[in-house]
Amino acid sequence: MSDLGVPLASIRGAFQGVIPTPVATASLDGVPHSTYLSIIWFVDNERIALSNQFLGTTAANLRSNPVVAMRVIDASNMDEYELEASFLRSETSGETFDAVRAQIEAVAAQSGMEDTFRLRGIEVLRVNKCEAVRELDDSRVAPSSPPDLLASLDVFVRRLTSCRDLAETTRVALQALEDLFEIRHSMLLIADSDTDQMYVLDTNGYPGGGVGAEVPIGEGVIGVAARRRRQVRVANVQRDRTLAAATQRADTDGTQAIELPGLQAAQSMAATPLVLRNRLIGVLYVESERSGRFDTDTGRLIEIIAGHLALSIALFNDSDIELRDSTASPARDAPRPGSVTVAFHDRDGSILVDGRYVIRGVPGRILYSMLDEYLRSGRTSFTNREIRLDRGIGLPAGNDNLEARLLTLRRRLAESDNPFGLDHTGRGKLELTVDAEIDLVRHENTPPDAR
Amino acid sequence: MRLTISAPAESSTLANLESNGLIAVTLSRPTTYETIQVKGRVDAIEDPSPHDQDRTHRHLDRFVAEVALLGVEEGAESLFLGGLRVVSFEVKSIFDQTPGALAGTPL
Repeated sequence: MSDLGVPLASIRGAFQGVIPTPVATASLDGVPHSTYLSIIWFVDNERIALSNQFLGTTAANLRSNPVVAMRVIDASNMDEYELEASFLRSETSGETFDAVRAQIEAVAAQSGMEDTFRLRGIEVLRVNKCEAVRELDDSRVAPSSPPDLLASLDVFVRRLTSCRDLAETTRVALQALEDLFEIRHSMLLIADSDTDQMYVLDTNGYPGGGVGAEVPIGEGVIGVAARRRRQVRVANVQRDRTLAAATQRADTDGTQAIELPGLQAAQSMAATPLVLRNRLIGVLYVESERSGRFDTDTGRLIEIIAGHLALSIALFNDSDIELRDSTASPARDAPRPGSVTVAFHDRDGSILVDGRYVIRGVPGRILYSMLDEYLRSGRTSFTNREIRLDRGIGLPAGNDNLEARLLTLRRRLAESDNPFGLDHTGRGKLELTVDAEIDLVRHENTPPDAR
Repeated sequence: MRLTISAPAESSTLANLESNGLIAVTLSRPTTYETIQVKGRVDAIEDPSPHDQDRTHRHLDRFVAEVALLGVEEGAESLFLGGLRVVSFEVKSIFDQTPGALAGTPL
């Protein structure tokens, strides 16, 4: 047990990185040195860590004169605490190091400064003193009763486990984040292991939808969470949101990629990987216009939710479960007269209808294969089994996320203006609807913009 | 250089300045992270004059307005108003401390 005046675990709000922390050290002969660090890392009730990207004099001082003082501030109430600590050791691997590295990479990726902000190590400190700088109001000392997160989580899991198919699962999950936890902006992305891309399967709280938008694994907050398989939480985002710009770099080949949805004034965000049996399923991303919105407890809550989501998604990818389609497209309008040109680019699987980008990757190849078969034989019914066996589509053996890919394709077709539709008609069965004459053109290995 | 600091009578900052006489000050602009560090030897520690108080509060107003741009919308001023003292010191060295490759370079 710690005998600190104020237990570190009780001031977790001061370790969220909202307000920078002044850190003071001194050389062996007493020359003082101070620096501002953007975040102090909570390790446990007795230890904290400093991330070492640029620490020069501070790191040298810690080694020769291992005492350090700092003031941390809880931005939620501006309570300030003075900490005195002693240097324990440097770490360049391990649980805390990995967590710090993922966080720093994500922040650096937002500003395109991955090389500048490389983590050299963490300096682990033992806290010897932790005191409030000012007398705290009584009203603050007696905390208002926290919301009953466990009860809400119970409701969340019940809602999730009553879903009958993948489409309902993703919709119910994101809606429940808003209903139960007031997380109003969220999106679920699915990993495509073949292309090192993720694509948006569902969103909540964004007017534009955004299904099918792509995020490269490794780029931005979402991409770093995926690559490191660790939750990344950012407590205070500068106003200029470079995340969106960075993640839209996927669109390098001239196709009109779908824009990734996002809050223009997001102040805090959390990206949580969905991992099952060490395999990346996708990422659950949430954001808020309030800084410090996703604290440690909320972060854990989202990790539990992400675990349940990962299980649900994997479950519905097995076709031996009866799937009933809860998002079947409404009855389509009368057939649209006229004809469209559908261009398929073999290089990246992209589909353009009369020059307008629809989708690419595996969903694009699936759509091309269906349209090709439709033009050859007039067939409109397809099965998951034949899609899995189609070498032109090239699904990986085993965990292929086919249900998630098909759901993305169905939602994207429903959202975009084109004469095709795809409906789920039963266990592993799909029905293609086509409301126009089609001129299907396949481009072999040519960039889509080089027509 | 004269500097107003928040250092109540019982604070360790004041005790350190009085016992050791050496000072290191980090000055950082919240919106850009441009940062310098000034080091020197303390000549005097005094109570602020009305003129010092006036300048300090005007500076604080600008600071509060700047951090509001970063989402810290209330309470920032409370961090700096306990036990104001004016420290006069002789500057011995100035360093660039902006995060990045040049951090630590003497100016």
